Amino acid sequence: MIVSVLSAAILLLGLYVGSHRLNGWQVAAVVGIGTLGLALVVFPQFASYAARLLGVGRGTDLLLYFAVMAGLFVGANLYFRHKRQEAQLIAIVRKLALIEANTSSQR
Amino acid sequence: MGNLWVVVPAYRESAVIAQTLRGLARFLPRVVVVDDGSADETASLARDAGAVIVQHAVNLGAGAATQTGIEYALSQGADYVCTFDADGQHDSSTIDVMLEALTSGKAEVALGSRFLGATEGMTAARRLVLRVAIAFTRWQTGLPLSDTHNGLRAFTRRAAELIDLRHAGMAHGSEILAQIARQRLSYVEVPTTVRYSAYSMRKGQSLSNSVKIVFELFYAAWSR
Repeated sequence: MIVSVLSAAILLLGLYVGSHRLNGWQVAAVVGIGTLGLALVVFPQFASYAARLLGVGRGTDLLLYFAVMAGLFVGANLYFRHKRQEAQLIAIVRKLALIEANTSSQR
Repeated sequence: MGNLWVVVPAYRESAVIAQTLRGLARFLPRVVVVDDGSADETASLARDAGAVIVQHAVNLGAGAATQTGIEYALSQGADYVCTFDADGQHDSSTIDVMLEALTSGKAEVALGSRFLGATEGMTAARRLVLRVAIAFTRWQTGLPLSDTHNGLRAFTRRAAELIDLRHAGMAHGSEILAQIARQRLSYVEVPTTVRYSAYSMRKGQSLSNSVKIVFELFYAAWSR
């Protein structure tokens, strides 16, 4: 069972990296995080060991904290991307409005 | 009186735009209504009233509409640009006072101030929030102003060219003041009468919006 889940995960990871134009560092990050995730599935005791080292206690708690941080990071990223695209939309709409107004006033 | 253009940003103002433009009739045809993506009859009513229409394809916000209107006026060779709210809260006779301040060389920007003038129908809560907003603006821009976020303003061409609004939304009121401070533009405050009608209260900014404006300003200061 675990072998099929892991192969599916690796396949998905490969598809993700392959279908996006990522630069070298991004590929390394995806592969690194993916490998770490797989390692934690196979060796769950590693999470507990790391948690004890960091003084967190339980491995599940450590994973939860990481998940929360990842969520915040993703949220912030999307927010700033949204702001950038909003600024682009504003620029386009304003420019179009001025072009339209100037062509209709020349007629 | 020089080449004055009046900029009227409008969003869903079909109920009052015709009346507002009647008050500005003596400035026609140099009145530009920026229809900010309204779904109603704002644009056609304004066109019938004789104003020039510049239309945003989608709704962007008062700041974007103001900037578009200023740029249009400049492209038409305006020597002076005045912004005027579409909802009928301003008195067009104030424009003459502001223009006089600019043509006499007293200042490059004239700002309407409802606290130097008269206000009709302002609630105590609105007065309080405005006081806080003014204190915040003074702290942020360093300008000793008596009002903030008043839609009635006039600029010389040079000043209008220097204004570059990035805030699409309502925070542009503060942004204009910040840019006046940064560009060291000379300004005067002109007393205005602001009429708070049931219509303008419903259409205008809710008081809770001020929280959003402060957030937008912090975002802008940080992302710049």
